[in-house]
Amino acid sequence: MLKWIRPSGAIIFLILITVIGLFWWLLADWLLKASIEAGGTKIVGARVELSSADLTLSPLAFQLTDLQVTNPKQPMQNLIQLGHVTGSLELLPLLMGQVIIDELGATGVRLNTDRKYSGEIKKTNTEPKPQREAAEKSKGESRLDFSSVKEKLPSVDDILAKEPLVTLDKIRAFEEHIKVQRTGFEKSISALPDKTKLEQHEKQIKELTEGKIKSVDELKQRQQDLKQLKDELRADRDALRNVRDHLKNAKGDINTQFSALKNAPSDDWNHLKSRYGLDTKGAGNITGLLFGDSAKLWLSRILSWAEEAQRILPSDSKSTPKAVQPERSKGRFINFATSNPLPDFLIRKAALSMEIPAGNIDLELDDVTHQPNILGRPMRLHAEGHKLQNAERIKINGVIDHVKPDDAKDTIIWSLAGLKMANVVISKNASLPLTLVSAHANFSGDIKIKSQSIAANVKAAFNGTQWNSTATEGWQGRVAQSLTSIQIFNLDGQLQGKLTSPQIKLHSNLDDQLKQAVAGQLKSTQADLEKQFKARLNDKITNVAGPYKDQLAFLTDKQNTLDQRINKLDEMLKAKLKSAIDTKKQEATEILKDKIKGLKF
Amino acid sequence: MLDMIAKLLKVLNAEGSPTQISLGFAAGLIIGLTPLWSLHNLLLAFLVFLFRVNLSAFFLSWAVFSGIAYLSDPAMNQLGAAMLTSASMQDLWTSLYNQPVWRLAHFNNTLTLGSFVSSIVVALPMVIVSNFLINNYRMHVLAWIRKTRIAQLLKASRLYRVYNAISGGD
Repeated sequence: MLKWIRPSGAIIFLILITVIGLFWWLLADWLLKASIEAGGTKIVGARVELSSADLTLSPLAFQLTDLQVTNPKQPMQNLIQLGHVTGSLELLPLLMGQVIIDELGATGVRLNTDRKYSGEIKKTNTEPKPQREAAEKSKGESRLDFSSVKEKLPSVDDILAKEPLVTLDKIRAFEEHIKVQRTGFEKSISALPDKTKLEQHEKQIKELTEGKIKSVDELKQRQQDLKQLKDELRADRDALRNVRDHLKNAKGDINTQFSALKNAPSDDWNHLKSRYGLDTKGAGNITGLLFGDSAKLWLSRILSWAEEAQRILPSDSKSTPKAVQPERSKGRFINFATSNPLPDFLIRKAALSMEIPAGNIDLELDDVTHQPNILGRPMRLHAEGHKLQNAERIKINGVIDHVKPDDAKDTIIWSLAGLKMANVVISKNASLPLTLVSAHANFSGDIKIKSQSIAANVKAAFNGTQWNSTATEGWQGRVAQSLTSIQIFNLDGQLQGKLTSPQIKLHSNLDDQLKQAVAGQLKSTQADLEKQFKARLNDKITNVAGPYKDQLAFLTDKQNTLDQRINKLDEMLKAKLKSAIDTKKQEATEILKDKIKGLKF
Repeated sequence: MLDMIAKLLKVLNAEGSPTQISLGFAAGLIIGLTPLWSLHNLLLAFLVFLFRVNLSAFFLSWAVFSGIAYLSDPAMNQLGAAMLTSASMQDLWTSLYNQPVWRLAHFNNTLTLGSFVSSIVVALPMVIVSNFLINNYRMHVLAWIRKTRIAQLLKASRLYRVYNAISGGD
């Protein structure tokens, strides 16, 4: 047996392993740095960079310096930058291919820092991402844009020249209708039996019903001819009646159209009131007008982070496993049920000291992983900042629950107390520049994301407010003036809808106060405009009144004419042929009369 | 290429026993076909060095099968995935997964398991077949080849000089 053993071989093997181990140890820091940068870049989709990495074996731990994670949407900006990071690793899972960090501490954590150069990477297989329309298009239902309230009300000439008014359309349609109607009736009436034809019929009847009937055969012939003539007369009468009925209806139609035409200026005015923000409904949305831009800015920030989280964490849209071809010599690790399941990457506990302009915020995270479905626990976060530069306290609690990817739900509850606001530009619009000179504010809210939909609420209470605006004219001036007297107000915001296109709704008790100011201003100016506008349109309608009356007269005249012809035909149809007996009786009577005349008494 | 052929001839014509050479081939096959940085490869390399396995055959085989692995990886990865996801084997894998050694060996990796199973299946017959071939080669083919005119011609060729330079023969 011993002849099979090669003792020198075992020694050579140990020497080889030791050399490889030493070589690895020399390169360990570089390998760690390279793997964090490569792995991070792959996950984030933008450059992840590290100044230096240091690995220690006992205890197994690492230290990272200046870790920068590029924002994939803004490559010249870092999503997050960590000044100094320390972490302790578990050895056994590491040998099994799992990176488990027991505790991670980070200081000098900053968000949205500028980069010296672009962190964009060239993507070979980019998936189409849903374009977020929220920040750009999320105008709450009740939100009113500055562009919808004109700085100056339009003139009547402008409206008549530019606006598609129903009144003008109806006038044009009415005039056209009258023309077509008249032409049509003239054509129809010309095809009907006229006066000459009726006289011919009269003559024919006379010939048939009067004159001496010499025989029974002649009587029969006349009866037959009369019957044929009456059939013809009935057909003519029906045709006349038909056109006459149409004339009657036409009169009703143009009466109705003309009545509608007279109401059209009012309809147009109501439409214009809404379009030009002249109604009180528009004026009531002044809160959305004032705070909409700020809301959009914060919304874009929230959605940017939410989208990144959704992209990295498993969710219903990504739950279907993709057939990814593993790299050469890599394969794919398959996990099975175990009493202590561990994902490929996990930070059990992280403590980050974040530096924001207002001060420092301590952020604690539990169970950070991109595979929460394997871990079976959601990620939890807690952030708290005290005695900040401009606020008393900020507190954030959240649960990012993607344990069941099909039913992923993220919940964040937050509050910001005692925020001192100074010289906050609320609106930069030239017509209503507005600055909140000073105020104390308390905010609280929650954000819920589920199935690619977001629902968020925020409540804000402002007190001790002081405003500044250079707007002095028009409704903007009234708003600015009204705001100077307002020192306390509340603001509620709701955000709902798809992550890609949520809707913002803002409500405030400012609405009622500002509404009165704006509505009062609008009321006086709109009354004049309404008067002028309606007068101009009524003038145009009056121009149509002449043709309308002419048309009515035309229709009435034609109707009377047709009625006369119909009556005449009715008379003709009453004509009857005398019987042969009556004829003989008449003849005998005539003879007797002649004989009586010859007698002399 | 000439170098490889010369090395092969040197191994076959050396004094080492056919079994040592065959085991070297088989061990090189396993290390070549499976992912290098694996626990089983560390153990196998230790055994190769510890026992009198022909190292030349081992390194030669390792080099050849590392090249073949580039072509066979996708098929072996599929085999491993099929085995690890097979419904009838879930209980077995689950119980093995709960043994740290099994996970340390990365046998829950599709490529590691697929290539390991494939290489074991190929390695065992390979030991027997190569043992038989080496014995027959030495007994019949080598003696016959040496007498042929081609061999005589080859002795005067560059290949033979390379072979001689490596083996230190005459």
